[in-house]
Amino acid sequence: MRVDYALLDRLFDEWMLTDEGKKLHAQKATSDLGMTVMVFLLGVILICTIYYAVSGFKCIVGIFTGEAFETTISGAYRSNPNRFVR
Amino acid sequence: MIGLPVMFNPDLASGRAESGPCLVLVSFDRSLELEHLKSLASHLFGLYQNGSADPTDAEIVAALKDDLFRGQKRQELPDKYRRGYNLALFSVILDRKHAIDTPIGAAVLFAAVGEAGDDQVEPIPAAPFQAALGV
Repeated sequence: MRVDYALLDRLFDEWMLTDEGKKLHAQKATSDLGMTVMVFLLGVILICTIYYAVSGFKCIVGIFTGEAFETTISGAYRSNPNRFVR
Repeated sequence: MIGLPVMFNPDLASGRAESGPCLVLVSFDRSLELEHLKSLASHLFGLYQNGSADPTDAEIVAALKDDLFRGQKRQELPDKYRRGYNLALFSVILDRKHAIDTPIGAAVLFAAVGEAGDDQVEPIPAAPFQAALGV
């Protein structure tokens, strides 16, 4: 038994135009957006962790006490304006 | 991608439940023959039933023996079973009405959507694709 992948692709494209296919596509789009947001948050945490490693505890405390990120990052700029722009 | 179940929930297999969890061997590789996929799925079920004397199978045997469904997830296969193909095991909820019977033993064929790096796949009805599967 062999799979006709060309036909499978065509049938899948047709199925994606059905209500069920459109629903799946919408779910997938939502899921991808969620992943994008998660990666973004991980990036923020990574930056703050690096800052913590070189500059002490202030940044991490800022995250866990709910201090605004803008305040934390601008604090980094105040202590060393060249740290993120070298 | 094409997948073949390795293990079914007993109620799903017997028809007492319309849907249930199963462990599915998925191929993202179009060059892989279905017969080979079926053979590997049977072998993996054999590892679940009988274990293996080969110490390199310890991790996959432990993963197979952990047969309680805890949500959809992906389990990588050791290289010796992948043999260069893009294969992985997925825990999924399979809906019996989405599946089609095949002439390959007692195997049941299903369709799912996913990309090679995905942590989970989304089962979809197989019937619309029956013509392409030759069953």
